[in-house]
Amino acid sequence: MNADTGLVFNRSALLTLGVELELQLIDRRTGDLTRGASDLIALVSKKSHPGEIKPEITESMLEICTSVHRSFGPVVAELQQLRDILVAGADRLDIEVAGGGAHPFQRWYDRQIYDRPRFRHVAGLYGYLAKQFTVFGQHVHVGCENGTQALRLLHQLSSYIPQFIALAAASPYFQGVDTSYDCSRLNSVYAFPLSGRAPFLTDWPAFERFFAKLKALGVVESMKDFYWDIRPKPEFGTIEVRVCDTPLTVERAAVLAAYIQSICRMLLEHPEPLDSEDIYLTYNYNRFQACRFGLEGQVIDGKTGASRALHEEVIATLDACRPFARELESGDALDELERWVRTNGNDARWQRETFQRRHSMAELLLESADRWRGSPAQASTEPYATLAG
Amino acid sequence: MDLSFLPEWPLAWPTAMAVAVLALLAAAAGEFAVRWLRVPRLLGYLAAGTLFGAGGYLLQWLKIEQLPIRTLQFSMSFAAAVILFDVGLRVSFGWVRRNPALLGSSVLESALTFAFVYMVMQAFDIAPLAAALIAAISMSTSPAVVLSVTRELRSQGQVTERTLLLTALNSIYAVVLSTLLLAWARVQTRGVLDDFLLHPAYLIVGSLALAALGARVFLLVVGFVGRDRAAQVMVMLAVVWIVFASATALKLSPLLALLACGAFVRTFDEQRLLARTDIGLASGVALALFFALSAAIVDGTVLFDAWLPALALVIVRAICKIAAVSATAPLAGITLRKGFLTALGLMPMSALALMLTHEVSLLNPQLGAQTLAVLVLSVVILQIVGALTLMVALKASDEARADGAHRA
Repeated sequence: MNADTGLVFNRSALLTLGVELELQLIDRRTGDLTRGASDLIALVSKKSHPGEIKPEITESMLEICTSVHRSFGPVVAELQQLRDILVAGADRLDIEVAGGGAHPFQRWYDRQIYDRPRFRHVAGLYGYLAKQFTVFGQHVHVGCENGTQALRLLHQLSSYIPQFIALAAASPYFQGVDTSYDCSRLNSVYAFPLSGRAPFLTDWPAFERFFAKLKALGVVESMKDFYWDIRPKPEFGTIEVRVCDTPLTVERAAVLAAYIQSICRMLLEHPEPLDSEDIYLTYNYNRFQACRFGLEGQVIDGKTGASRALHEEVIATLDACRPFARELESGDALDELERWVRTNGNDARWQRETFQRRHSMAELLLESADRWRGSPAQASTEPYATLAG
Repeated sequence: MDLSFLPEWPLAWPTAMAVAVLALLAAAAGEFAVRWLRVPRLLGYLAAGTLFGAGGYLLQWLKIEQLPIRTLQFSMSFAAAVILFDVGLRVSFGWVRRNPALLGSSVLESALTFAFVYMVMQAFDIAPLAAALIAAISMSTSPAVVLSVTRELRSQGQVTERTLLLTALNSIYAVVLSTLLLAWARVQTRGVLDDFLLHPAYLIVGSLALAALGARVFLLVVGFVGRDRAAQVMVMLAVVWIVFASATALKLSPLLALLACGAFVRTFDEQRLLARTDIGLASGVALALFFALSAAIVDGTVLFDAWLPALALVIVRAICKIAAVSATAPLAGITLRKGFLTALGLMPMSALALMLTHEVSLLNPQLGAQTLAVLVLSVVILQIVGALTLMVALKASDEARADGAHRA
């Protein structure tokens, strides 16, 4: 390992799981984003809890992170525990916490940057982009034993990225309009210079050389400067999938994490060939389809040229990776995932239906906050298949 | 030559024109305050009102024109009604249920203020009943100043929300307690005890019932008109006017009725109609007019009649509020520092306190004059100093919009 670049890949237990969720803080009266991260964090830090509750770039957002787990059950339990602590704290401060990939109508110029050196640096560098970046993602960490294994898993996982985007999509509204995308959040991420996919490097020394060159050129200072869809996280010993919008409930977040973990296990046992960068020929196109049309997006298989809808793609993948999920004790999670795909679709669909029912983005937000608390959702009854047909 | 087409001299102005002239002055002075002095806009409105009032005295002294005081007073009351309703809307009484320590904090700061101001007034040989009334009224923070400054700075956060909540609560205590004291005064003068509770009970229960009715009507109609802003404002003005007029006609407390009406609207709003209702512009106009009018008609002749007790009140009140709210801050879920900043936000008093005194004077003129003598100067000081401490508190807590807050 090269000590100069600071890119020592710390070994992790294989396929261990960690989830980070960026959350929005909402004014109970207007549904607008409100400032309260530092107060809420100060309040909940008095209670002992697993995982972490951390500030994010603006005062209207914060992040919860689970500890490292091996399977779905403990992840969902810990996320529920973190959620309950947050909700109890937020109640004392009269604010709401909500999931969702973007705030539907917040005005980015009203955002206050959280007072920390790194955040001030980012705000100074990216200007309005930093404030417009008040979008909320779910990051899933999967443990790897070494850097090369991590990179190989990262590239194999890339063909599943459109599925993750479509399943998690929860940002149809942005800056007060229906963007027509299911996931508009990734469009905001795309504005950053070092976003998109990681370079096609499949062994760790090559990656270290790549990083050292960019660092010497002054393009990056640390791995944090990359906003890639999946990026290696050497200090944790993980790869980090960053394309998911924060779902509206912690349960959904845990299910998505378990799905990613099961696919990783499948890929480790039955690796897909990484002989050519051609695996990325259709990447941007498929990614766009997933952002724009969600589970109805049509993706193209780069090898066969076959095209099919993402909801079909998910069902096929579910069938393939179910045995691996059972080994990871995540079978329930995959059953739940299949149920959504066959019935209600993604959160973006619920958001659009709720907006059509309430005719108000503020009310949409407040109902989202209700869902985050775990109150029974006004679930759509229409099966997804009929819409797809 | 027949000049009968010309108006007769002296000119017969409609009395409402004074309000329009004042409004014009106030708009310009508000902008002046923000742009050149970098102080809250309301100080500009107050300055405009003061100038206008002084001009009025001059005209009166020169026997040219009489200021239509009654029209001005009436306009101010209506503006105050709109403000109280809007403050009520911002107050979430559900919050008190979810965080009972807030109520503790609120009761403590008001109780301390009452007790110590009462003792100090007694030390200045002010009669017990007048001292108690002064103490009761000085519990209250000005909803008008708090609403105006938080709106102007577009502030958001715990200091903002808690200042608004504690303001609404201490204003309610002040109304209730001063009513009880007035009833007590009547018992003392007439020597009968049986109606001691009857009057306050009528006043409080009646005002709350009227408020609840107004809130239901508001929600019903505003839910029907949907998202048209002009219609929303019209509904608001109509309901405020109806509640205000009914409270006056029924000899209830318009102050309590309107504050409670706003709060009930928020409490009864299961459908979350408020989230899409925006009456901000109308309440902004009401605030501007309220400050300008209150400064224009303030009775400057009694300003320095009791300057020493007034100064003492300002200091004792500040100490009590700061001590109580800071000390209870950790219990109520915020840091000591933010508790202190919230307490700074509670400093403002305004002519709303004087309107409370006005309600007193109607029932007991002598008592009214005694309380007014102390309160006028306190209010004059605290609406200026209080507006500034509130602004400082919101900026120090990072809750005011970072850039261009003043230009908003």
